Amino acid sequence: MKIIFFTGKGGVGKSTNSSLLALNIARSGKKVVLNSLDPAHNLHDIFLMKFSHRPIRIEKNLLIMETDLNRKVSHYLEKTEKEYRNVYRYQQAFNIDGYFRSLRYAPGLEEYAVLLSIEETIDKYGDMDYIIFDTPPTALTLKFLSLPEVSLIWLKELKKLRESILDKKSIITKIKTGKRGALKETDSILIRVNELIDRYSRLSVLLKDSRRSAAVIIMNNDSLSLGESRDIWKRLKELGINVPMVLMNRCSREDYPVKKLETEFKGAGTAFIESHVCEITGVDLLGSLNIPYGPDDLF
Amino acid sequence: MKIKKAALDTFYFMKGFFSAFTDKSTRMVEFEVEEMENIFSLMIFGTFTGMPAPPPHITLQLMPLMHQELINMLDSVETASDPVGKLGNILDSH
Repeated sequence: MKIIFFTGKGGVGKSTNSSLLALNIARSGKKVVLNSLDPAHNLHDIFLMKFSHRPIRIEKNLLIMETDLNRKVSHYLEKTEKEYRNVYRYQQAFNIDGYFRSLRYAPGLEEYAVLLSIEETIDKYGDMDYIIFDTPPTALTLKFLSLPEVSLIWLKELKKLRESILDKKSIITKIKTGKRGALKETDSILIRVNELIDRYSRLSVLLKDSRRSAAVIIMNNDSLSLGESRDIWKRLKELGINVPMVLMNRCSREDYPVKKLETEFKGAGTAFIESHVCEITGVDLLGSLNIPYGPDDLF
Repeated sequence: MKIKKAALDTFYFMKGFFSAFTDKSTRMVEFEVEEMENIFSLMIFGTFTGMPAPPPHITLQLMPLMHQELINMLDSVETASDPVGKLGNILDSH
């Protein structure tokens, strides 16, 4: 299974190009899932079909889905709230309802919902050859791609502190009773922290593995999308995420010097996709177009 | 009989003596552990207290396991206004 993220400024053609690549790969005989993580989905407009959070098979090898982030957040909060109600039975004083109402709008939850969707897609469709994600606007994309790393920084600090607490508790037990308690093995908080560390480490390793994950940056020949693409490139490099391809969409090789592009995005392959005479919609039109790169250029 | 009673008295006296001794010797470490637990709780509940906090999903996943820590933290709020008194109490006992 290989994962491809399409990133870039809003409106540069992420959805269209992710659809083109997905269809192209699927028609070459490989199994593909295309998942839109953008809260403002475009795939249904491109394929002229209705999609939902449940994947729809539009061709033998191609599944398409549009993640509903609000639904994801609600589902996650409902599940968590149930766990809380079991523990915090004195919730009248704690005002658990109010807490969960405000949590829905808490910063950070939307990117977590995106991450959950990515994890779920990987878990469910790990047997597919390719999983392609059409990503949301840049700010949200960079946040969810950073989330495993940020979470790991916090979790490792929490683990260190918790272990130190348990070590000291163990010493106290030994002095008082003469026996050393196996606190680290049984402490539910440390067990949960370790589980979370394992989970985010796996995700972080997967995202950084250039044999399994790739990000494609798409831009147009204008200063705004170029500027944003440079920022995305810099941030993805900092995160250690592989960017093997930079796509100049709606632009010919004559309009923008290849050398300049290659210098700015050193190490990445470049491809130009010229403007089409009409809107690219419908499976027939999508399937009839050739793209100047393929999955082999990404891995 | 008298010897047996004297031996038992001595045994209980020594037991009490060592118990008090171990209690005293661990009191500072226990206080330190308590404070570390408060810091751990504050890190998790930072969202509520305005301190730098981990991403909310980490808090959400750990909070159901931190019932006791939450009670400890609320208890320590009561003595928070008199930290010197609390410290003095520990040092007095040594």
